[in-house]
Amino acid sequence: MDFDLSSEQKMLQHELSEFLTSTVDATRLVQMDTAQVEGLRATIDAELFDMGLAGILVEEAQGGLDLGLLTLAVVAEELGRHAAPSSVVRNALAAWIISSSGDEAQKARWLGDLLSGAVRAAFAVQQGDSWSPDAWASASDGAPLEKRNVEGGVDADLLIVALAGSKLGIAHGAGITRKEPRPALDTTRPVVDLAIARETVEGLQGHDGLAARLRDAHLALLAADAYGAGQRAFEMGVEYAKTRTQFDRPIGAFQAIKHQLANMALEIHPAKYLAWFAAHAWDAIPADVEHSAALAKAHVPDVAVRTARATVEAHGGIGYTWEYPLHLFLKRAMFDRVAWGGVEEHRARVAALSAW
Amino acid sequence: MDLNFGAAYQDFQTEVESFLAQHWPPPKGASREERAAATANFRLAATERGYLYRNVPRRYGGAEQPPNVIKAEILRRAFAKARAPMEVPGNGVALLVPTLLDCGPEWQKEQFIAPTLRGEITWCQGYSEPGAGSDLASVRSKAELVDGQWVINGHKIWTTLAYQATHMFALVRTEPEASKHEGISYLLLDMKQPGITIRRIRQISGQSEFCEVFFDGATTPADWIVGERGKGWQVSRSTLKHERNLVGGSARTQALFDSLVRFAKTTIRNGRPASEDPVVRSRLAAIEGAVKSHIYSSYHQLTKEAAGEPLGILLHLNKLSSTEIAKSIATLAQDILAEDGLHMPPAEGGAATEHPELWLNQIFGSLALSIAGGASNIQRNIISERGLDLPREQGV
Repeated sequence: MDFDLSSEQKMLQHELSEFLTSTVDATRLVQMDTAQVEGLRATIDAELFDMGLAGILVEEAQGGLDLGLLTLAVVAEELGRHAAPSSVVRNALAAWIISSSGDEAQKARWLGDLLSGAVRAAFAVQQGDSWSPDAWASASDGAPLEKRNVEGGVDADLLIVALAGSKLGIAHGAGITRKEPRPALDTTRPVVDLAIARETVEGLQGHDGLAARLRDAHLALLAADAYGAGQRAFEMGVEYAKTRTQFDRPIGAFQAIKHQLANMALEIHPAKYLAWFAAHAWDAIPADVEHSAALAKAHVPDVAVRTARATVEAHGGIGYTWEYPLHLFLKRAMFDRVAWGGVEEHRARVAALSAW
Repeated sequence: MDLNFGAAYQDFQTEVESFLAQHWPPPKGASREERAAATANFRLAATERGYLYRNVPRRYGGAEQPPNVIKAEILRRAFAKARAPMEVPGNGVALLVPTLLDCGPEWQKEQFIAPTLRGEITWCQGYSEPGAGSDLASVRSKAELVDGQWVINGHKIWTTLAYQATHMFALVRTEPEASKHEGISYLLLDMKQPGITIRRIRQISGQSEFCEVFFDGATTPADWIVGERGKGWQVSRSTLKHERNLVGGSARTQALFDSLVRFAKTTIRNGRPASEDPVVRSRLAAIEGAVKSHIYSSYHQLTKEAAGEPLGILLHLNKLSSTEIAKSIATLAQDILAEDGLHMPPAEGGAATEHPELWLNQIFGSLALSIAGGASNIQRNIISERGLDLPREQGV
């Protein structure tokens, strides 16, 4: 029984944590405009792509690191913990898709650039109000594909596009029309609606189950990201309880605050292992992949949002200000909770997959 | 990450499984007495092999094995799968024996441990009193040394199964002049004596496992004290960490959740199984998220413990986690039980399929869980003070 990160994964986590701690100043991040956030994203990505992280899911023969989803989940968790803007996780997933399902020409055109970060990828999935591969549909009558809430879609060079029949394609260049972006809830992860000319989408060969695997990878990574954000909010709450004084003592001396924080600890700490398990199952336990990804996506962001909300409450007024960066982590968790289907949708899937 | 136990343990697992295949179960149709004798013999053989009482030296009837949490977990799983009995249940094996091993003089170990392991003497825990619950160090039951024996007067409460126990280990005040924590001693005593009166407490579940125990000049020999006079508080806190069962609690939680799912699938509500109601399905999935988090946390703790690394806050979360999950299971169980739960369950028990109201035992029992063995609010204090390093409560 070894239910822990490997020493390499722990080392990676440590390196990322040091780098992101020194690079992302949350109190400055809340004051940044879109262009400044984009600048920070570029600084972060320069380092993360240099570390080869976009190749985590790509086999070594194709220039990747072949380390598995659990390692990518470690990256997602650290990005969540620091509310860090980055395209490295999207590129890692896109590189995996191209390397495992693209033809030789597609690989030659895209893979190297995805791994280096010269090209940035985004996933154009949601149609109407659904993210589910079962609901992916093609536009009829030559109308463009309308894809909503594409994270990183504002300036992505390459789109991985969800198509009818749980198929995938790629799109780039002139066939993509971007709608006017609205102000983002999570300023580190703006989303945009797109229209993609159907005839400009190139099909990927794919294979049976690829769409489900892509979905499950996203679900596990969103859970890991949410855990990171929720845990950070929780840590801010604990720290604040030790330093903020009222009635001549730290508020953490009051049982009301202590018990509130204990209740948060009770939920947020174990949630990490649910996210880990989902990622590990994706790597190594095929029979558990769908169920554990759905369960992690239903549970962990739910816990993370509840924790972050409770942390705002425990802070009092300062937690409700834009200036104090706690809301970055609340919004990060709220994003994770909604993307790729909400809590109830995935609970319903858990029930169906369990044959209840 | 690897959820298997690894090649190194494969031989051990095979060995345990083949032992179980040979030794359990006893032949079908055995009488109650034959079955009890077979269980006792099975435990002896399993101890001989090194499977039970692993932390107890051979000379006291144990298996004397070096601590190994992975082997301990393999044993629990293999025994559970074979439905074979493990160690004798109860406070004696779980609490008194480790305390004696840690703090008792040689003669007490020789006299008490082996018969406790065999289940020949059984122990109840004389800790709580009407005025000493969460504030346990406030115990007022007192013992005085008179003519070479302790004379005990006072009143214990919430003593589980006191009416069955042959013996008690108790915290009593022997040094009335000393401070609260320094005036307590840890005594052993025989329950079958005139100075002791037991009153069984009728619980909200209708059952009566908890008791009040009244001491009215009860006696025990002067040397039936564990540790020194006035050191009883420290003795009661002694925690031998030998093969701490980090997974047991979460495995029981998973088993409880599995029964809830079966209950939902087999109970017809509004003309269909309750498990087909979308709200029930959602609530089950919500509970499962907590259950699986709890289990994987225990796997992580097992990994850490085996590697000799500290468990940090996770260890402090385990009890409250089980309790809170049991509470959410109880809440959903009551809704599925619906008006079947307007009747109290049969006292003799039975099968939950025939008597769904037996779920009331879980529904009420989950409340006992939130009180006994460190109430939930005390757990929250422990989590926040020891786990999160928040300031300690004034005067506690």
